[in-house]
Amino acid sequence: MLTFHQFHPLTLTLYYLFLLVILWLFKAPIVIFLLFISLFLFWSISQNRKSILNELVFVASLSGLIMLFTIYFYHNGATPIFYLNDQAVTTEVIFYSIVMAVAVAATWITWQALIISFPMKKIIYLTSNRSITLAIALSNFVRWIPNGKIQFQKVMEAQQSIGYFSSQSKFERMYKTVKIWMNSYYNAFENTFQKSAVMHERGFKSGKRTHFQHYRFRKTDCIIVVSILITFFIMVINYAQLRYYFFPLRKEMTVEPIYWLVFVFISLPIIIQIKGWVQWHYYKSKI
Amino acid sequence: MALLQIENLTFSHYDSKPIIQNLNLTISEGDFHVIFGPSGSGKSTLLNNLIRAEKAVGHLQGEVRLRNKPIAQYSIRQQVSEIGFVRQNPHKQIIFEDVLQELAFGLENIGVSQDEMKIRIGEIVQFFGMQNWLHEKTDHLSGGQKQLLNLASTLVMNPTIIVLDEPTAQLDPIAAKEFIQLLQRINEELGKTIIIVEHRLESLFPIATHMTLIEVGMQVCSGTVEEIIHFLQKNDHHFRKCLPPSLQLATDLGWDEFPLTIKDGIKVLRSKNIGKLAYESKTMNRTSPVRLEVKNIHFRYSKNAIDLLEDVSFELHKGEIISIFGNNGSGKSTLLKAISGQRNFYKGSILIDGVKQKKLSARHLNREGIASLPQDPSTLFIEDTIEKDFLKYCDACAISKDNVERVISLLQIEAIRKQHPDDLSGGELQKAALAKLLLNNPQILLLDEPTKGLDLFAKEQYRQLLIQLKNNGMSILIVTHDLEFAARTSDGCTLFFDHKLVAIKSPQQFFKQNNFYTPTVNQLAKPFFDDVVIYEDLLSRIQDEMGVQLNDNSK
Repeated sequence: MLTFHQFHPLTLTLYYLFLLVILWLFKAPIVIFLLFISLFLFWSISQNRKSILNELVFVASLSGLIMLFTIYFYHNGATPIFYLNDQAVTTEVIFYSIVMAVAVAATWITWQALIISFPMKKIIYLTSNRSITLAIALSNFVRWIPNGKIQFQKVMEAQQSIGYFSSQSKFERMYKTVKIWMNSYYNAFENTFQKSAVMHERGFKSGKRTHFQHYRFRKTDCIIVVSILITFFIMVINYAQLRYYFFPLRKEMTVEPIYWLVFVFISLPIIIQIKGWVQWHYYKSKI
Repeated sequence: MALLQIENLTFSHYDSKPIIQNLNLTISEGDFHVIFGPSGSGKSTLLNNLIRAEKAVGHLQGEVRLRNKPIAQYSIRQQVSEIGFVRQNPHKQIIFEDVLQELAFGLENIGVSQDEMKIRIGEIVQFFGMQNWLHEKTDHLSGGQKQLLNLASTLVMNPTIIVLDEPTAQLDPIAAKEFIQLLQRINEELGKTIIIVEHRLESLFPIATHMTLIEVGMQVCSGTVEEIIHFLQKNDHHFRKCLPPSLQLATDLGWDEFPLTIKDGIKVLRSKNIGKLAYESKTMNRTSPVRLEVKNIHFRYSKNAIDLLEDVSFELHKGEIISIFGNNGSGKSTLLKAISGQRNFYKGSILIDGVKQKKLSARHLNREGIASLPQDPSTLFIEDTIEKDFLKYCDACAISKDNVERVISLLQIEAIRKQHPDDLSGGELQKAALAKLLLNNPQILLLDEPTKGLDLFAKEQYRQLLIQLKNNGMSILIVTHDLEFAARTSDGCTLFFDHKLVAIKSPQQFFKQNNFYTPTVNQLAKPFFDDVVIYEDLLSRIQDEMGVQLNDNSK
């Protein structure tokens, strides 16, 4: 059964790059929302309930902060609703802040999905014979965030157990949490250099490499790559028409014909996973 | 011809005193060379300088030659094909998420063809018996399996020399023994040269060909095993305590025999007619009040999982030290977390001084009066220096800052107070972590693998400190693989098996019924005094017996 992760690393790279470029270049709200939902569902398939809940809390907090920040500092738009520090807060800004918050959340979840699709071996496979430095940097960068998360959980647990968070002040506890968070990700970043050292010890930068596992570029990979390139080309040509704008008045939300193709691409991972799941259960029923 | 020659090697970080000075070593093909010495003596720095790719940043003098050619003249590819390196921490060495890719990585780097890779990996998997976990994720492997994977990943590249830096430090006693036996096979069956730094020397003396003792960065003695033993005995060197107990006994009693193994030691003792006198076994004396009572606690990580802690019950009295043993992954650390409040059990109760403890909220995961040392002590530190961390902790918990000087003096960590926690050695970190826990004057101390990274002498200091704390009324629960340390330190020992604790007994009563999970001294003494667990007791009993025998002979 073909799962989404089994596509060629090049196909996956192009796919995720395409999603991120479309998201930030065109900023179409419908695309952004659908991207977030689809990739969140795709990511959740491989997670337990606690991780999903934690992720939702994190994403909601991050989005909330971005919305507040945007509303506080942006004063564009033509339809004021209320005034903050003598500055107008408009419906356009509110809408913009919601869309941007979801865009950041969608970027974050795309990154999480990418980490699952790209274990170290795929990154090394893609990059090592082109640039060893890039291979090390990318592979360690991709592992940085998961390792940072693990380190953060360990340190939080240890610090909670010795009473570090026993203060009554919420602000102080929040400050300490942020401090530990920064410390953990910094340590995880430092540890990536240690991994580099271990890789060098095993001859990583010593010359041309061979590969234990080769990834086949199948017909499906070909179709996806060509479709993505064509879609992107069409979208770039029609950039003026397709790009969404928020100010001074926000653009009417319409679904351009090309966006249907984008929706298909966005839903691709979850469609393939569901198909694989159905197929597997069908074969299982025959055992 | 010498395979590896180290000549006048001196290394220092910039603007600091040398870490290693004028080291001279010659290693021949097929040697099993053990390098030992106290923590911080420069052993790891020496190993790092054997591998060009991992050279520490600093000032290096002298030369390392491989097959009579300076190692710097070898390309990296040639170097990694000749010398393989296995580090102390199995988790930090693993790069990939799956076992198969981890095995293949080194071969990919040296340009081996895919077909040859498959053959070599297949062979290594058979040799190491890894078939059952070949397709596992590396995150799911036990510590012992991870270290095996590291060794296999190194050996698959077919190096001439395998260098290992305290490879058994994080393994339980049985996994450690198996690992050493595997190294012996690799040395004898495959002819690989082994260079190993270790603190656990007893099992290495019988199999090593050569040894080197390094202290304060300087080479004290280097030679065959016999030469080293002779040096340690003749100079009454404090490292004599690292000799196998059978050999220590022979030396202390002035016997001519040279027993390196348990088997040889038992033969010698039999020839001396030992074991005729009867002795009373020490039992536990638990008259002090109960400080901690764990009653029928059950815990599992998720609804559909099995219980990791199943109906666990025991008591810890005031001024008592109890050690818990068990395999990696059996639930010992989880038990400590359940007691300290980091894990909420779904059934059962915990009482401290007779008061039932409530479940803790996610914010307050610490019970009053309990201090818990995690397996990774570095997670206790978040500031730039040890002293700063202690002071911030005192502020956070409203503790008097006078306690900082008290614990620094108690743990003798004055020299490291201004250092960054990441710059400390394993042993220094353990001491600093314990010091931090003692700031709050806990009544109950939970220690998870506290002797990891400590050499023999540091362990003795640590032991004396724990005894001192115990005598001041502190109750201490230790999870450990260090059987010798537990035998010397504990009032009671117990085994975590099948998600439960078996009955707590005195070390003598506990170990006498075990054949594998027991200190080497007990394995040696078992046919004669099955309740002897520390060397001094064995020596004293034999001296009693010899005294009795001598008296009989003189009549």
